[in-house]
Amino acid sequence: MAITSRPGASDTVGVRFVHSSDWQLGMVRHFLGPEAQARYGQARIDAIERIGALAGEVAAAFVVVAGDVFDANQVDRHVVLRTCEALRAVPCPVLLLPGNHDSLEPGTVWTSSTLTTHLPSHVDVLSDSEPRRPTPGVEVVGFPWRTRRALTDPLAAVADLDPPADGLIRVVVGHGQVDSLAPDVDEPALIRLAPVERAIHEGRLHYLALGDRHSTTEVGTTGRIWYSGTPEPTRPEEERPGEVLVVELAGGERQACTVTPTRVGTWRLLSHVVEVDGDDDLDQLAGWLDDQPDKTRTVVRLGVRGTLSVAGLTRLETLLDAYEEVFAAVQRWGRHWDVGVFPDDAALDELPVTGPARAALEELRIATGAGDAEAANALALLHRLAGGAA
Amino acid sequence: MRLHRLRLRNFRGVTDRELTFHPTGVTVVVGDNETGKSSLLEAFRLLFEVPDDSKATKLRAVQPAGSDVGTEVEADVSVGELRLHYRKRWFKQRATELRVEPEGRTWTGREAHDEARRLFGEHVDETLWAALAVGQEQTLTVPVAGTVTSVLTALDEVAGGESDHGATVPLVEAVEAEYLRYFTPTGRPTGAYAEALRRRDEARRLAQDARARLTEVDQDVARAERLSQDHDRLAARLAEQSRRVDELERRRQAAAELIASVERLSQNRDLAEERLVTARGELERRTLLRGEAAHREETAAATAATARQAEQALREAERDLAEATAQLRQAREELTARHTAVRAAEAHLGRLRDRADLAELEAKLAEVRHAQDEERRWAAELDRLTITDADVEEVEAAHRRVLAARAARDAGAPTVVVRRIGLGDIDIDGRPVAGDTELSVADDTTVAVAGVAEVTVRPGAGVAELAAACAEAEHAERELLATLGVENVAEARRAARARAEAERGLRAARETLHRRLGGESLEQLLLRRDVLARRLAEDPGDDDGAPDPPTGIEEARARLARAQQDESAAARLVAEAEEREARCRKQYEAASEHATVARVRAEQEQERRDDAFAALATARAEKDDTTLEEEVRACESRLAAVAEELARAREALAASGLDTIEDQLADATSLRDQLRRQVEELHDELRRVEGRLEMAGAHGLASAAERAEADQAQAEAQLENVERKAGAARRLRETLTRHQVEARRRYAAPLRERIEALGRVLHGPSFGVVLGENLEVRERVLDGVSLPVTSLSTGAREQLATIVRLAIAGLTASDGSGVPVVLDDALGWSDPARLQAMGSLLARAGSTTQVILLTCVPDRYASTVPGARIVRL
Repeated sequence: MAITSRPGASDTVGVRFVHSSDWQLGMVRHFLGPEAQARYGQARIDAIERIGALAGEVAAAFVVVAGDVFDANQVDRHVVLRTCEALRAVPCPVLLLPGNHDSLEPGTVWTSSTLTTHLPSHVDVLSDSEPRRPTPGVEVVGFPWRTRRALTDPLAAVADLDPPADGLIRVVVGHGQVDSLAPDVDEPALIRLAPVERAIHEGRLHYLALGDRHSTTEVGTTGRIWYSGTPEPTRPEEERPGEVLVVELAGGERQACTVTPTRVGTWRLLSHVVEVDGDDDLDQLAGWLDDQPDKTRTVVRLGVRGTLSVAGLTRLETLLDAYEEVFAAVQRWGRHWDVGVFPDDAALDELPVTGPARAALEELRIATGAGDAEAANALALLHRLAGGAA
Repeated sequence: MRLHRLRLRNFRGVTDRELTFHPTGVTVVVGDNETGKSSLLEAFRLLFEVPDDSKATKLRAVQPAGSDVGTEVEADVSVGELRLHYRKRWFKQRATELRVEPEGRTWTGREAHDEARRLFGEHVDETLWAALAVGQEQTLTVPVAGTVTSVLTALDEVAGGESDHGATVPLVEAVEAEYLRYFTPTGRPTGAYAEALRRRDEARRLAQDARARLTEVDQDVARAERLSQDHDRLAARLAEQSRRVDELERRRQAAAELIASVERLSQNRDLAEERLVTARGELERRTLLRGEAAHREETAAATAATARQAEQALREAERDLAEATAQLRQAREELTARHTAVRAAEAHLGRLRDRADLAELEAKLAEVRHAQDEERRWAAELDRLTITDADVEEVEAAHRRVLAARAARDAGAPTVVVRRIGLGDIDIDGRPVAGDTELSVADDTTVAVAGVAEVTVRPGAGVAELAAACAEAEHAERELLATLGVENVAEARRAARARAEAERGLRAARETLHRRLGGESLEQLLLRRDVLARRLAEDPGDDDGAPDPPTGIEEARARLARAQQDESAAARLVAEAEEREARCRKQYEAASEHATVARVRAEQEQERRDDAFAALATARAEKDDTTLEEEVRACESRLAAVAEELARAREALAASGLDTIEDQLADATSLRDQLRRQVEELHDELRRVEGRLEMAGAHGLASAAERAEADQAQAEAQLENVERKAGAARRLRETLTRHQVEARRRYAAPLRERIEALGRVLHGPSFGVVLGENLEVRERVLDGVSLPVTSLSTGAREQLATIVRLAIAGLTASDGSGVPVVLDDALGWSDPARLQAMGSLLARAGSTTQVILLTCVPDRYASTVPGARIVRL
């Protein structure tokens, strides 16, 4: 982290602030049990305090949150109250932007009495595009979402921005997908990157703090357009979640911009797919699971492919049952879950089963061989009930 | 397994007993009750089950009561290729010893027990042993072959399958238990599965509810946004509309001045019109006044002339009336005179009539009196003649009776014929008889010929009676005639005729009197006569009134008629005079009234004429006619001038387009007001929806919905987990059950055949059995009749149980895993014939199996089981 000058030392020297977004407070994850859910929810609120601590460490002038502070406008009252309480601990001004999840639509959380009466005074909601001056020499312009489904580029006005007053650093806070990253170019509310980059080149804008994308991502080529990502992960697909950006904008001639991603997240959401073909693979899987740190804050979305003996299948089930208790969640990934049973397993031959029971076993074997999952389970059950070794 | 030897010491009541058994064939152990037959099986069981140091209750039960000695059991048994010598002693000097031949190995103590158990377990199928070695109390129970592992194995072999194991039965039970963890016996989810389903449904429902509530919120959000947009749009339109209204208002102000001048001119014109109307009215009234005066003058003159003419007419009518009245009076006097004449003529005629009537009445009275005298005379005659026709009839009757009596007497009496033959006097009853005579003798009749003879003829008694009757009849006749005062019948008849004549005379006299009276009584006639006489006496004068009074009635009548004609003519004259008088009076009254009316009208018209002239004079005095005409002309010209000015002003106003401005302004204002109301409504609605949303926010509905969905996902996952297990259990059970049933079907045939083969020896060729799913005998068929096993008699049930045991033994004996068939006091209920058949079956079984029969009745088997070896306790 190369800090050339301390903010506040000179009004024209530069500024350092923290850029975060997509706190999604109040979010519920389906794969979590009630207990894990409570811890996860708390972790997202605790992240605010960690961001506050980081701001203190790096002596940030302010914190901007680029949208989706809350997961929905109709979040639980206690979420709003805990959020206000957590914000109290942030030692610098905080600027919160309404995003699509918590847009300024009618009934918005931002005008609710719960929030307005408890929001600390150093926290400002960017409910309009009036420039804010959280610190001298810096102008922050927010473009809040007024409805949850915008039909136009939320940053269209950036193209018409006048150059800032002499020496003023201008930070724009926005929320939404940029067209260069969007899979669907027909989406009407895309942020068009070109006018923004032009504004940056023309010095009318020095940094664009974006929210919406939960993965920390730099956009374009200017080095001044960033998605901070979510401070705690929400989906296994996310890349580099759990980070915030410490942004340093130098004043004066150089106008340099330094962005430093910093981890604040405590949870991990992992996807893991393994191929199994025998006890060795099961050993390996057990080892991998064992090796994971912070299991209580780790969610594994597990895919298992392959064929096992009935004993192996039973062992896999037992294994997962055990780890499900230890991890925050071990989720069977349906798309990548394909475990078969060897129908010609010698253990089945050795079972002390004859006569009709043997005939039943053979029938189930054939069905299992044809990929009948229920038959495989029935076979495993028969194996267990007939006293087969696990 | 084969049992070769068994020794018991101090076991229940047995002090020391040793029994040896043939390895094959039938051994019958005979002993009285209480000698310990049943203890043999128990001892054998305890030997293998209970260690020597056990304190089990069932063990203590076999220790001899009151004696402190060790209980000992010793057995020689062969299993497979091995022969075991096994001995065990409990309670005292406990010991266990096992020797296995041919290996020659020996175990003692616990090891011996365990090894013995192991060898027993390995070689003996416990289920088979339990089925074939039965105590006294079980002989009636038909064993269920499907629960005997060895049977299944044997049947499996027979059916061509591979050897079955004891594992199947426990496995089936385990699968069933696993299935019942998730399903009820009828296949409905239960336990953890049902709970997971319930939780899933509950979570699903809650999530749905939460989502629905959230959807409502979303709808409200959309609604609020729409309302907000509508509000803004309408507010803009309202502002625009307000500006338009202001503009129109300004234009209307500019036109107001023009309107004022039109109004003023309009008023002026109205005023001029009013004045013209007034002047014209005055002139018109003057013309009317003049016309009225002329008219009244004319009318007054006409009515005065009419009044005079009426007066004239009245006087003429008065004259006519007086004349008619005089004529009437004269006619009435004439009529009165004629009337008097008629009265006089009538009176005269009356008197003449009275006189004629009186004369006639006197004559009539004379006739009446004469008739009365005649009547009285005939009445006196009638009083004198008393004999009536009835009396005559009575007399005639009496006379007829006399004649009849005489005839009867003469007929009954002898007839005496006296014929003269000589001369002599002949007297009959003293009266001489001249000639011949013949007489009937009713009384003693004496015919005497004087001097010659006297012949008395004496009739018989009957004749005498007849004679008496005759006499009596004659007497009655006489009496009657005397009463009537006549001599004989003829006289009586005459008297009666005279009386009839008198009656006719009286009747004629009365009729005459009646005719003379003419319907009146004599008194009435007398009264009339008196009246007439008095009237004539009172009015004797005939010469009153008229000269030359006529004396005849006809004449008088003619005079009267003439007088009446005169009277009628006079009356006609009176009527004519009255009619004329009335007509004249009416004419007079009408003329009088007309004259009065005409006079009054003339007076009235005169007054009106005077009034009209007075009014005209007054009006002229105020303003003369010429002045009025000039005033009208002046007003007309002023009105024309004002109207022209007004038309010009109106044209100017119309050209200004003021009326459209008014309409536009009204429309614009109403539209503005409408917009204002809509804006207010939208504003209110927006506030309401926002209020609702605020509530929704306060309740954290989105969080609630997310939580509910997470719960649902959890519940779904759990259900999936349980369902996987439940599905596996169901699939396994279904598959296993299906194969089992199939196997049973295959097994049933050989077992049934074997049971039936044995049963036919006992019951004949019609014997059959129906096996159930568990290979249990469900029904016995005999002579085509199926009976459930439970319905069989005790004997038949015992026989069936024994047959099934022997069948099982037969099935299992072939592979060396067989066990002895032990029957304790069996077949006690069988009849001799059946017993004989059972005996041969037992003997046949003994060829492959060791059969041990325990009994207290040696005869039961001794004579029935060929080749049986008898061992006595």
